[in-house]
Amino acid sequence: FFFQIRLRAVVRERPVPSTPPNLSPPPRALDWTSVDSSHQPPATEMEDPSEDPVERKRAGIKTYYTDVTPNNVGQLRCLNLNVFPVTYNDGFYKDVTNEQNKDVTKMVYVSDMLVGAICCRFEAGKDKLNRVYIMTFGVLKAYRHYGIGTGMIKHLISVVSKLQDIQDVYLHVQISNEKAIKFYQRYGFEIIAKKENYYRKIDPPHCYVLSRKPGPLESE
Amino acid sequence: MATKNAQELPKREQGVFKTVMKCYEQKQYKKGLRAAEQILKRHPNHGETLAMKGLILNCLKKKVEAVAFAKKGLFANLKSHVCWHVYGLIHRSERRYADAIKSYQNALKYDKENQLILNDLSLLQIQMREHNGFQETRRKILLLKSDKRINWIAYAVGNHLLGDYKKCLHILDTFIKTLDNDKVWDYQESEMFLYRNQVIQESGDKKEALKDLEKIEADARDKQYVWYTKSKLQLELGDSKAAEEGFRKLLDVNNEEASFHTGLQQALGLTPTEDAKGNSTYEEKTVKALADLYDGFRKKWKYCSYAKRFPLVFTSGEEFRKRVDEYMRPKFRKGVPSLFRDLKALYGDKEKVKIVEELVKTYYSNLKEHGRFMESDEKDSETPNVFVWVLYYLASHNEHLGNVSRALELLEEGIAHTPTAIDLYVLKARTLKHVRDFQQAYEVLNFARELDLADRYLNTKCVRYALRAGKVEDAQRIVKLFLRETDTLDSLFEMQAMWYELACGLCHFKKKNYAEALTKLLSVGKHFEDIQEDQFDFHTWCLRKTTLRAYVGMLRYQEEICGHKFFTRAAHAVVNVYLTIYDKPSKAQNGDAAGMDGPDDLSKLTAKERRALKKRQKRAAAKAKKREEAEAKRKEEEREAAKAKEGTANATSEAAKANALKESIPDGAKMAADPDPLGAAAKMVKKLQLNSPKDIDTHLAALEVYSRRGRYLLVLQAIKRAIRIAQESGVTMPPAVHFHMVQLARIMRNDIPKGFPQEKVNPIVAKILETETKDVPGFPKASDDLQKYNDSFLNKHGNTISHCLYAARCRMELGAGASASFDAIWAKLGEKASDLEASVKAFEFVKTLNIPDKLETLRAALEKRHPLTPDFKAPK
Repeated sequence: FFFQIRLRAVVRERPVPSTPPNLSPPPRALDWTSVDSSHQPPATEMEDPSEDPVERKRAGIKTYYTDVTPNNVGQLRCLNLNVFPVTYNDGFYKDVTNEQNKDVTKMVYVSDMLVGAICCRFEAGKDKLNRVYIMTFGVLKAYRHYGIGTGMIKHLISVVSKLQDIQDVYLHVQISNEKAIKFYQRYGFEIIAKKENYYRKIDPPHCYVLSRKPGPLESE
Repeated sequence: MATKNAQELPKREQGVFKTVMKCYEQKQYKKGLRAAEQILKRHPNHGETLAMKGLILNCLKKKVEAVAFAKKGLFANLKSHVCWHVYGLIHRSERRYADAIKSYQNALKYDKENQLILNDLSLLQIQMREHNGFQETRRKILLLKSDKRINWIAYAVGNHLLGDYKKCLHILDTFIKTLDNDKVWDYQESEMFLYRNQVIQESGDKKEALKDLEKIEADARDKQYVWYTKSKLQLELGDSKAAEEGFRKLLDVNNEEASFHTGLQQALGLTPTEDAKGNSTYEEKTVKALADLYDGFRKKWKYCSYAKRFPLVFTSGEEFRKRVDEYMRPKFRKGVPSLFRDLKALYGDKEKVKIVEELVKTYYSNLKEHGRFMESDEKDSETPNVFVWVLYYLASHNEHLGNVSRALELLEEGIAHTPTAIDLYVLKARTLKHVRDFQQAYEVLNFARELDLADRYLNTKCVRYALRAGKVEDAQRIVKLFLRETDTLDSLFEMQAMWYELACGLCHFKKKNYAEALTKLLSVGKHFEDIQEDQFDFHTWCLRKTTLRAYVGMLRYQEEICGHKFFTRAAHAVVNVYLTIYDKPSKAQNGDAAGMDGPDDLSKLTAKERRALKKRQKRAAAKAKKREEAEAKRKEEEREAAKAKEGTANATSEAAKANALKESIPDGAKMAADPDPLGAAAKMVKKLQLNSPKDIDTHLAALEVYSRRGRYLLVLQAIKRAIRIAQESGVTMPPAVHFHMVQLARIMRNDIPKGFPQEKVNPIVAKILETETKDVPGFPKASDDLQKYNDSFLNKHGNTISHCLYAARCRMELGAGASASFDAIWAKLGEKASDLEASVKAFEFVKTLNIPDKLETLRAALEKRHPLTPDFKAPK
């Protein structure tokens, strides 16, 4: 008897536990320089660094990391709309599902709900080195102070430190966002430049460029 | 007509004929056809060859020619078993089983001991549930060939199905005696002995069954069945000690199986007591014992969810509060969306609802402010996701209890908190659906779907919501996600996707695309036919593999399969479509109300005109039939031409497949154009009466159809049955019955209502009605004034809006006028408008009364009651 199973296997992808991703991807040939980042202002919304990480909320939270795929990218869009003051266009969401950026672009789930995401891309740097650019980095407001952002940045640093030919990890932060600057500085980022009138629609329009050399965290 | 001599072939041709047979058996149809034609060149009237040619053509899908040749062969040689057999086979392939059985029986007249034919006959008989015939045929086969296991077993099954347990056991035992005693049982033998035991159980001899089970226990393969049945029998025979032991042993194997748990509870005498109303309560002593037992189980099996959940059933008060608190917390932490559905089963107990509500409300406010379940807990001991799930539960709870606005408020809060929580959107959509805001419900659900395109549940739900909102194209676009790229929507028929067909059919019905609606709804019926047809595969297979318990179970299941809700729902919808087609379509807009108004055009005609109309319809029907036949023939020719032209190329076979699929889908357009829609509806009603006689809706559908046909005795029968079922199940009589009783009483008084055939009632029928209605409880007496009778019904049942609606319809029918009719609904509206579906129906009815002022008053009142329901929004 032939009970044909005809339904296409569209099973809801469950987030997988955050194990270190499969590393040692080859250095990639990149063509990201053509992207004009000023049209898609990056943003960071996360921990309140005024609180020391040790004094985080007591309860531990169980998180799962998963890749961004064309099927679940809608959730990322929904998250970003709620976290950032700016909206990203369709091009951005096409980029994040790009296979190339899989290791440095992750969504974070708590009991089946998306609560945070880190989206990065590789860019060509000096001397055939690659740069990792953090496009967005955000956690839903209600889920902040649980170390989710810390987990994401640590994850990124550990992934990047195992790659070869990386020049640095860098990002833009609005100059008024002191919390974010302090947060990044805690993980070894330094201000290397200031860009005037980087943002178009938000005030103040200036931003700092923060950068961190590859390598594991000192504390660990 | 050929002489007998002409039917005997010379030696050489006999050889060729054997080749024909062989080619057929080996499926070398082309070769067989050539051989047959070779014989026919010399002996054009040879019956058996003609028949064989027909059979081969049938296999080549040339149905029309096949029947012609088979018939020709049969007429040439009426005394040949081959010709009759072939004729039977062709009937069978067209699913005309009764005709096939007759043909086989004729074949057997001329060749009494042909095993092939006997076998084929027995298959058809079991398929048609002709148990007597089946038993007799199997007896003949057994006598002919008693060295085969399958023949013994089949004869035994035949007797079992007839209820002759003794004979069945006798045959099995005779057969068992021939077996080697020392052989280790294989699976088939084990199944046979277990089947034998099942027959003993069914014969009612529990002691013997138990004894037998103990005997075969060591050798039987299906241990769990043996243990469970043994314990069950011990329990029934009063040996609770042994039963307890048995159930404990079973629980060690599988501690989640509810029947093992209930078995153990019964063995220990820890069952609830039932009062006269059927409410069960646990005595204090029992509660204590059960609590001890299950607390022990919880320690023993850490992950046993039954041991955690069951105590919520028998405990109450503070004890229940403690346990349900303990039960819910981990589920909120984990995020179990189904928790509400799980606990909903306890909502029959008002006290428990209150306790759960109090607890969850406390959780909600504590989590919101301080990140903890209770004040006694440490601050921030829970993470924010817990809050979302508590909120989700509270919203489900409110929605279930009808506090729609509170539920929506909570959901908005939840969405603001965690906008990526898909379940919140799904619940929001469901809530909107329940207030009939289908458009918005679809939009919300589609938003949820787009958050996770790979979620099957969301895709399926979204299709249904789209159809409910009348968006057929959107639904088709989404449902295509389930298909392969090369498939068309027709493949859904092949997949028997009944949920889709039902929803789609109802959607088309609502949009008045009757043809499309019938296509989809009749497809559902077709699937059930196919499922029954699928039995054929099992008749020989199960007997050969000796999986007899499963086989008999399957046969019994198949007998009841058309009582399945998909079939019933589709059948009711088909009846409604036909009724709507029959009634004047413009009046049919009013849903249920349609049934009541009837076709004006028919009732206005004089008897003479009506006869003329009938004649015209008949003529049209005959013409349509002719056209249809011509069409079928043309199609067949076309298909054959196409086939001949393109040969057996792969592409054509694909196209042919798609074509064949298309042709197997019922043609709704043809059905919708049926000149006798009531006849078609009556056929469906008969199926319902056969398959769901205990469903009150069956008889309500019968009322609608038979009253329009003027079949008053059948109307009376349906009234009686509906009343009996209502009494037996302890529900109030459906108001539609009242309406039809009033109508029938009018007919008996020769005051024939609109929409009924205007002829005078046959005096014999009138006489029967008069005597029979005397026994019908609540039927209006001949002396009753029907208006008053209706008023007293309204007084008695005025607290539900659907009863008021039917009372209002009666008033309208009895000529009391629109305003009086409106009053029947309006009088106590404030107290009873909580039934949304009935309110909508009542509102739709009032729309037909043509009293705009009062309609507006009603609308405003209903809008106040159901502010979110679009049906009651003021027209722009």
